[in-house]
Amino acid sequence: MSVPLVIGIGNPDRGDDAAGPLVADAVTSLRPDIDVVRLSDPLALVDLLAGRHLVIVVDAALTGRPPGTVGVLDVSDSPLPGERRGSTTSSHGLSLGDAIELARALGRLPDRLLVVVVEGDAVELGQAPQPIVLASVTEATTQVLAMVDGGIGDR
Amino acid sequence: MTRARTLDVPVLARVEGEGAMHVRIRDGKVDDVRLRIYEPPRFFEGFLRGREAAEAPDITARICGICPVAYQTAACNAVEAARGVTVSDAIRAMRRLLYCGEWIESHALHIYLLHAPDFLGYPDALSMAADHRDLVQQGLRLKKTGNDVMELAGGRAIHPVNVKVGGFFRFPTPQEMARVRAILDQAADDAEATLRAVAALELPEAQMAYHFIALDPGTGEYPLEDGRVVLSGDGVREPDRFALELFDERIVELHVEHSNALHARLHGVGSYVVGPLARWALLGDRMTGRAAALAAELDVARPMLNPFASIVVRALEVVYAVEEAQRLIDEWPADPGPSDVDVPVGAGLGYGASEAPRGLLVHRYRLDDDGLIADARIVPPTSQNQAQIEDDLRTFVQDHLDLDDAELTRQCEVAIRNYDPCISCATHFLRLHVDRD
Repeated sequence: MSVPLVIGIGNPDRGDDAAGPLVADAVTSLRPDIDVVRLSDPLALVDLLAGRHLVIVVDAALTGRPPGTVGVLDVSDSPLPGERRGSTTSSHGLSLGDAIELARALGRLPDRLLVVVVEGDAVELGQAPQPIVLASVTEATTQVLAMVDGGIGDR
Repeated sequence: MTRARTLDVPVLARVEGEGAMHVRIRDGKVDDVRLRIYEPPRFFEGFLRGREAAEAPDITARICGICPVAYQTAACNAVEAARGVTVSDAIRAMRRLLYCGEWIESHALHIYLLHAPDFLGYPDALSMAADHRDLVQQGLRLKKTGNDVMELAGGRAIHPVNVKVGGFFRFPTPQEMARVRAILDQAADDAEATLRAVAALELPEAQMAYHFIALDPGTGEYPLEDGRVVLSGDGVREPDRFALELFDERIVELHVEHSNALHARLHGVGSYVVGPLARWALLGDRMTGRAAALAAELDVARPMLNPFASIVVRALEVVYAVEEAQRLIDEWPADPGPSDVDVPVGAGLGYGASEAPRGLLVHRYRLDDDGLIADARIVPPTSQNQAQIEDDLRTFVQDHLDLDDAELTRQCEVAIRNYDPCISCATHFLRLHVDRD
């Protein structure tokens, strides 16, 4: 069985957007047996998913829920909900939802693909994440490890 | 009665950065076209002041995640020129190899994910992928090969870390080069298939009278990583040539109220084009090998004056860049010598340029006695193309007033994407506004 892969998406120097890379850092230091990748461009995700059993993507989200809220979405069989197609805060390339759908259209999804979202509301360039978002990085990391160890990829 | 129409695109899609388009039509005449770049100014030239010259490549690489190599290379060229340093042939070859990776990566992204959906009748690459799976796989494979070449020479694909003023921190090992060389054969096939596919596309017809500007590398090669002479012409008559040091005299940058990017004008000419069409028009005879043979076989016009066919020239440049990367690796010397040359700290004024995927990029630095940057000027390709994009839109809209607003607006967006505009680089995403009654 393939090693689980955790992908932290976001810009580490853009406020709450650092949540994804910070969870990736935490998983790396706690669990060297898990593959970890940090991405700023979701398009690169398309090349990383195929042939994997379990992939967990961690990303900051701006959906209007309270900052620091952690949620888990299973996108193995259906698109990332609530994301308008073609919407992205990055000027380069695709949004996370678009990248996942491109991988799906190309038949490149892993057996199980989960997205852990950490709610934020401040993504100014050069700013540190808010304390409440930093605190939720620990919770998100705990959830990622629980999913890896709980055999959530086995279905 | 005055008949007025307004076409507005408030956020342009599938371009790099944030911009908008506004077109106003009165009495059957296009009377106002504005490509509005509202992405906030970046102030990079200000950041550079007071920094050490050696920091210029890494700071300016951050201007763009798609073409960091263009910025790094032009910055190195400028600082080295300011200090009167020339690099070895091996260092120059490694810069060219790194740059080939960026052309392959950037052009593949634009051809497949940003521009092809326009000509195959899809709203975006995602919808296109469902019907053209093999085509999109091919594009992603090419893009990845470009990234692999950049990682080989630059240490990583986005904002490479191996580049320094004077050369590289280290050259890749023969084993590392052999690994990338092996995947370039597949890329050569993919690049040729891409060119054949885009050459067969049904493209909109347009014929513009363009003035082109491109960099002559002075080596007899197709322009890429360096050059000290700028060529300027229509691609038919013998071009004018001027030294890169005269760039500030020949090119005037104007602030226009509707844009955070400066508009560049060539003295005595006005708007002009940089990028694939310009390189092909002025220096297309420097294409070699498979690229030259395919251009002849597919009868790619030179100069190419249909802006919608820029996708064909871009695909031709991918064929060239893959072949050039293969050659550079094959001819890499057993003993390349040191990976960098010493660039002593001190004062000077230096111009450096390179041919970014989107066109000529010029850096100028004035260094003080301590080697600190006293003054910097960076002229990116998209700000040079901005005035010409507006001219293209004016002509295109005037010739297609019979189209309804929705279709006219869509085709205007395609016309903007012909230039693969990197608005992030130019500012210093696109909204379209068409105003007519």
